[in-house]
Amino acid sequence: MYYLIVRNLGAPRCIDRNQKDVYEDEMSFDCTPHLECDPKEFVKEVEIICTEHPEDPFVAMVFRD
Amino acid sequence: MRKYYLLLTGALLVLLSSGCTSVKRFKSAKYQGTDHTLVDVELFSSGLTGSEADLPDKHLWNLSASAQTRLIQALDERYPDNEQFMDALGKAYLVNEDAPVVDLTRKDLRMVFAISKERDYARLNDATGRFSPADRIEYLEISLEIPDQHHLKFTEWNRYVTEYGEIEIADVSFSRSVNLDAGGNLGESDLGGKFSLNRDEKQMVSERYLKLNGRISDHRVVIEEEGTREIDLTGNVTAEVSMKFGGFPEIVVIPLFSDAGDRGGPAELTALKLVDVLVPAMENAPDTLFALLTMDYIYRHVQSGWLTYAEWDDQVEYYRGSVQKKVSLFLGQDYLPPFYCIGSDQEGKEALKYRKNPQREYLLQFRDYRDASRFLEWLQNPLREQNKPVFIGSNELLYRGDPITPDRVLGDQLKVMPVY
Repeated sequence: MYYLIVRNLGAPRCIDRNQKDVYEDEMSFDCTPHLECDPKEFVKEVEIICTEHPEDPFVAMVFRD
Repeated sequence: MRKYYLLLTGALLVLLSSGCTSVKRFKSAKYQGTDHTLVDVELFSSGLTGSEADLPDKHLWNLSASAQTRLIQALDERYPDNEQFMDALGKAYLVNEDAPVVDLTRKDLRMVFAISKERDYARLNDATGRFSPADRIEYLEISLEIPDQHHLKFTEWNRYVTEYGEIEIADVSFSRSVNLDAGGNLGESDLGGKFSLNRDEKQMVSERYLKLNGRISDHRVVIEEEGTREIDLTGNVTAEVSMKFGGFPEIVVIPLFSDAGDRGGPAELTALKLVDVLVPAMENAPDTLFALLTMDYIYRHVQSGWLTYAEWDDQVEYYRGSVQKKVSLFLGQDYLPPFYCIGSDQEGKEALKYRKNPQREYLLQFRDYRDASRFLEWLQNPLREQNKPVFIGSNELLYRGDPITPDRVLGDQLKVMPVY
């Protein structure tokens, strides 16, 4: 399982999870959920867009279990 | 006759001396080079305002005067009992579900700069000394630069205050002068745009105390000050600017309780309202945000002629200097949203969440301590079935991925904690 994790104001949160690594730069996500995730291995960094506030792109990290 | 000549000569001397003061700037002037030790600047105080989470709800105290009167009359009729009436006064009545996003990314920054001169009285009559009681800072440029890694930028000027006057700005740049009007009151005039002098304006410029310029860019704010005759720029300068962080979306919950009815019984949660909030976007939250403060100045040293208050007989030496230092601009508590959650930090920080559906779980974060505390009290209600998972409508409450029960709330010693 792959997890998309953002870190804002020092607090990390998992906003999406997927069986495959579908995460690419400039993809849009709902950034408000706090999902249960089990991140173990860092995969990559991607720059995503939060659908609620598309003005400021945000750097997110992809992990896998 | 001789008396008249003496009087006439005296009058001419007085006229001549007053004429000199209004025409001559100094007796002589020369540029002596750089000296970075003559003037210093400190960011004496700074702070952010506008950080409260002013979420959209309505209660008696934020209604208009006429609405307050009507509501008090209605509550008085409905609740004759004094305790019930008092309880009803403090209740939130309307929470707007379609409220616009609450923006916590815009802040006002107030800075007080203290500008001081080196006063070396020990070398007052020393020919190589660089201090006299008539010395003054004639020109200064203060610049404050914030690093761009914080996604924080200046947006506009609000106010600028010196000991000679105060001006409201509300723009990205300004050019003003502070002067005395005919009545001796302090005033200001805008020097922006086209500027040609007529006779009246020339007079006004001659009375001017200070010339002020300010400009602002995303990461830098610059203040330029020039004192006119006998005006020393030593002292405090206050500047107020608006700033904006990058935005990151959050959802805050407002619990609504129906506790105005049965006093003494447990408060019943009627709804959990969700409010969209925009908080500062910053990967890490530094305890202190630093900026680079730079001040360039021109120092007017009076080498001789400082025995008189008038400046026209001064032999002036000019020095250029520069001061640069890293200053603490504001603290984390000034910009971190004051949100609270319910959880524990015993085995890593973990907080309650609510599940709308398997793909949508949200942190249960409250706008203030009071809301979170009241919700925890409701959760720990002893009349509730202690081993039954808690639901709010169809939404399940989760803790560490599992449904939460009142038993576990007590067993795991859940408490109200700040989110950030």
